[in-house]
Amino acid sequence: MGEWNAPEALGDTAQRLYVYAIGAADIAAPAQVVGFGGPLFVVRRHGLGAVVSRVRPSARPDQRRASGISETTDEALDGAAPTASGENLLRHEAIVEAICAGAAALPVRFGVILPDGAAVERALERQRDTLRADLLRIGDKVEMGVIALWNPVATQEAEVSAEETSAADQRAEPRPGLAYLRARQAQYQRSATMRARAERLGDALDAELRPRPLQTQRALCPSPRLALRAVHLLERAQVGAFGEAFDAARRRHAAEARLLLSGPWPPYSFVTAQRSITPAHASAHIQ
Amino acid sequence: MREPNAEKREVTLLELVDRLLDRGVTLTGDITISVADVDLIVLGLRLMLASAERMEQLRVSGPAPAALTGPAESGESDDTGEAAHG
Repeated sequence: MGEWNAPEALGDTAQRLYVYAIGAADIAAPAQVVGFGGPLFVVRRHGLGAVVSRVRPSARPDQRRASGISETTDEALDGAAPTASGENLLRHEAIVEAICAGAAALPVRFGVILPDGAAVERALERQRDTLRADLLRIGDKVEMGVIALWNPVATQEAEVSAEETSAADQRAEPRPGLAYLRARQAQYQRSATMRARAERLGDALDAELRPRPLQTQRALCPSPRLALRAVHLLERAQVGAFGEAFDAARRRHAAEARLLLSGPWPPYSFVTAQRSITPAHASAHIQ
Repeated sequence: MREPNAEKREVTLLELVDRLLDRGVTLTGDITISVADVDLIVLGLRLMLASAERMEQLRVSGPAPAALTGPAESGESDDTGEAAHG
């Protein structure tokens, strides 16, 4: 069996464990940081350690009223599992960052709650090979996010070009069916133009951003206003130099797009994706 | 006119939402995510809250913890909530 020495009595079956990060077995919970519902502690198994805190399942509004809990009660104070509010997301992130600052660790997605320490041990055991490999690969790394927003001029140029083509076609062929197809063609042309521009911008940024990231993920034109979103995996010590290179690139491409840099973040985007999630075991409160 | 810092904060918060709800380690097993105090609905985890778009609907607000640099001179609204996942 693994070890999970909770700071409180372990017999409370109404409480569950909220998981923040996973590191090697010697990972320590930051002493000055309090988790959702109470103190942080570590559940260990197979050379891995999961930093967790004890939470109660969220009560539904009628249950909260019946038990006298205010609708506005702070979940951190009443120990309930956190809902996905902005405040709680920020708190999760702050806790994960504190853990990652002290040791190599993998950030866990918001809202991962398991029934007890034994369930955490089973999860660590089930994924131990992947988690160990990820820890070695990215546990001490950070990621930086880059967003490129089109300047209005860039999008207008593509629209004007596509509209001129469509209008000329409609003058020549005024039939409604053809007009529809030509409108679709213009839309496709507009999209293709913007995508080609986004690809050129992405390639330019890849060439200009230094130090060269260990790994990069990039999405082109994820929305009409966005030229691209990218995330770069870096050594922590490279963040300053990367920021300086980004500033130069931002100025260089200012006429075409507005570039925004965020981070450093724990390496959320580079953990190995789960191959399968059992839907019957996943549940949610949805608004 | 929106304050420049507010725009930066929103962009960073959307980055935060994108990471925390759709990336990072997931542990298979009994996973409960409480988005609001409503009835439990069983869903596949990766189908649920798949992106920042969802959080846009939830109207998240608040300060962002991570550093963000970049120009924010425009007061217009930016459509950065349509997240892509690489």
